[in-house]
Amino acid sequence: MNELRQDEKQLIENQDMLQAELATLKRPQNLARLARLLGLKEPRPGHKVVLP
Amino acid sequence: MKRTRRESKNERRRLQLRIGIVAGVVVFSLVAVVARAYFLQVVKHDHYLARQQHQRSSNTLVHCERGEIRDADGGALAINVKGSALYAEPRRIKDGKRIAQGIAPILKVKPSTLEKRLSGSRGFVWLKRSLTPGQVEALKPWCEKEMGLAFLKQNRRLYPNRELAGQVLGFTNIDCQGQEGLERYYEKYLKGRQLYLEVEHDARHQVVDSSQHSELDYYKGKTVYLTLDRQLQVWAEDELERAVTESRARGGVALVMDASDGAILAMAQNPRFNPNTKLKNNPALWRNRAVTDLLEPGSTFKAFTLVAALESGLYKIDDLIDCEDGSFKVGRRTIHDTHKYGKLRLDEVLKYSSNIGCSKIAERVGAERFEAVLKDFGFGSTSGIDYPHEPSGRLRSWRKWRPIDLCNIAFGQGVSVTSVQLVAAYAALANGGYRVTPHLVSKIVSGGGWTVYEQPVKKLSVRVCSAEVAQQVNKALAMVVEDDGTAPQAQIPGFRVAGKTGTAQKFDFSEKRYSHKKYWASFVGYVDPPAGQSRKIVYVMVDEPRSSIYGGVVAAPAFQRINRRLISHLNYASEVEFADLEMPINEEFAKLKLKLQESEIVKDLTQSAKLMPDFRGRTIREALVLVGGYRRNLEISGQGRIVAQKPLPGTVLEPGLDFVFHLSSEI
Repeated sequence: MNELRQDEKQLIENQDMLQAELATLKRPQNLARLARLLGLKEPRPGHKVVLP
Repeated sequence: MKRTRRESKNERRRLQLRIGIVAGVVVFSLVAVVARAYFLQVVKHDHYLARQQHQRSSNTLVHCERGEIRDADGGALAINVKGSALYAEPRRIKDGKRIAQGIAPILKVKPSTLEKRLSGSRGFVWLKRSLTPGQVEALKPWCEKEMGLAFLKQNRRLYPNRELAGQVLGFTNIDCQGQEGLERYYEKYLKGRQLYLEVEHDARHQVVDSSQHSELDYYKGKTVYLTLDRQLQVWAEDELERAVTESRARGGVALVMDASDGAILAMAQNPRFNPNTKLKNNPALWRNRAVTDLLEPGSTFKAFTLVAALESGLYKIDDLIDCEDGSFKVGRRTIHDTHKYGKLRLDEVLKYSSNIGCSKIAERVGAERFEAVLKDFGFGSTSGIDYPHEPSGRLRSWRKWRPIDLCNIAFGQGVSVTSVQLVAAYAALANGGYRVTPHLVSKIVSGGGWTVYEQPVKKLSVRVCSAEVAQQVNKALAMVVEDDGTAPQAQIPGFRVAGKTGTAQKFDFSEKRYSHKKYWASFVGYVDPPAGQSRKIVYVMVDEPRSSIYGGVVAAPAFQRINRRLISHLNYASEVEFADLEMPINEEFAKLKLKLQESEIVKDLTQSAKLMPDFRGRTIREALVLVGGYRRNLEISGQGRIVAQKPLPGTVLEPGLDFVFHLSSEI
């Protein structure tokens, strides 16, 4: 039980760290930089379709 | 034989005696054990149970996790991460000097400082609150080996977007208590509860685990959802930075507000500020200038002079005002216009930003009535934004106004407002005359998932001017961006733009007069959205620009660029025909065109092209590369990306064809 509790605690910590890392990676400036590297362009008017 | 029998009898007796003694000892021992067990387990049960619990666990003050701050779409703006801190219990430490010398290089502090902290009989002392993962690894052997040295897991605030909305969010101190910005304003919601919980210790008296308590989630701080749109915030910050850099200015502010309800969609400031490294920044950068700083609005205030004129009933929009050829005396002072104007219609007074026209309007409207209109629009009182340290602005009582003060206020001098106040007032104009309360938070959700606060859907009920007057002023604001207005650079082809420039002199307190070198250049306005969407007020203020001082030159282009992105982001253009878009070719582009036309490589690359490709959405450079080999007559209009082409896609390409490309800027 102790081992499992330790594992759970470690996993929760890992999850927190991953969430923080994900939030950092999803930084709009970061995404914009990567998009430019990949040759993506901003959508032009009318290109965006909002699905219901 | 007899002797033998006696001997054996004696021997048996001795044996029996020995057995008896051993049995007695065993029985006595068993009785003693049972008695002792009874004593410990039954008689002293409560005493030892309490002692065991005291050794293994204790009531410890637990700080529940702080709530998060998220944007309108739920994107993380402020979150918590677990960090390790190092503490010591000096009274349990035997050789403080050796430990200090061992761990000082890891903690990058002086051994003598550490030694001092480790000496004495205190029960607890922090050695370092936020350790890097490398430091934790290096310190692990020390903590395992030495008594009285241990780690403690602590929450640390992290702002994953770094500088994004730095001043708006504010920051916390090392104990995760809000110190500035929204972190401070919403402290009572964000802070986790402090609870005394029973936690388990190990043999070294370290907390084994306190996270198993299900109550902790319930008592953790609440998640605050903002009205900020993270993407718009990025663009507002980027465009503001560009405006500040290009004009070599001291800084600036940009705001985007929904005119229908006062929700702030972006609140940008330059220079930026990263709350993760707050202590490395100049404390002056911590301030959210859009809310806390007062400035003279300059000509952006003239829209409200026009409102006062129309609301008073003394003027109609087509009434003529004599602007005295650029010079008008009020008492001993003379008011000037930047250009000489004769008679101007009321809306032209706004279009050409005539100080004299506004002064004359204000004189006729009268100070009392004029002040009432300004107060209705929220000037002179706090806007009610959910942000700390908001000043009310400066609008003295009309009774204290001298004739020159009335004229000055009519064109935005001698009155001070915050950027938020000004934008909220323009929102009232844009929504048809209703007052709005600016706000940054849309809802607050508890750890258990309950919405504990939601921005009320306020019915626009407090009217500050009639819908008719608002419409007339909006039309006049649209004239400002016409080719001969003060801000043609704010135009966006295909869209109706309305707004007002502002160029305000800063008051020089050392010389006790208005400076001729320091200005605030601003532009505030909006783009008409498609039906069904509310107007979004965009405000750009550049502080002390040096390339040019005029709002129409410095701030209007940034306003235009933010709006272009906003148009794309909110999909405004779906109802707009691209054919309506017309833009002049800039010089740089014309040079590029010539360069490409003369390129030999272009010809080589285009040999394989047979059918006219679809260039719509592509750049002219790509198009020129592909069609260069067939080029005879090339006609390009506009700038940006290709929106229309001739020949049409799929047409068989033959030498001698004429190519026509119509471009529009990237919106």
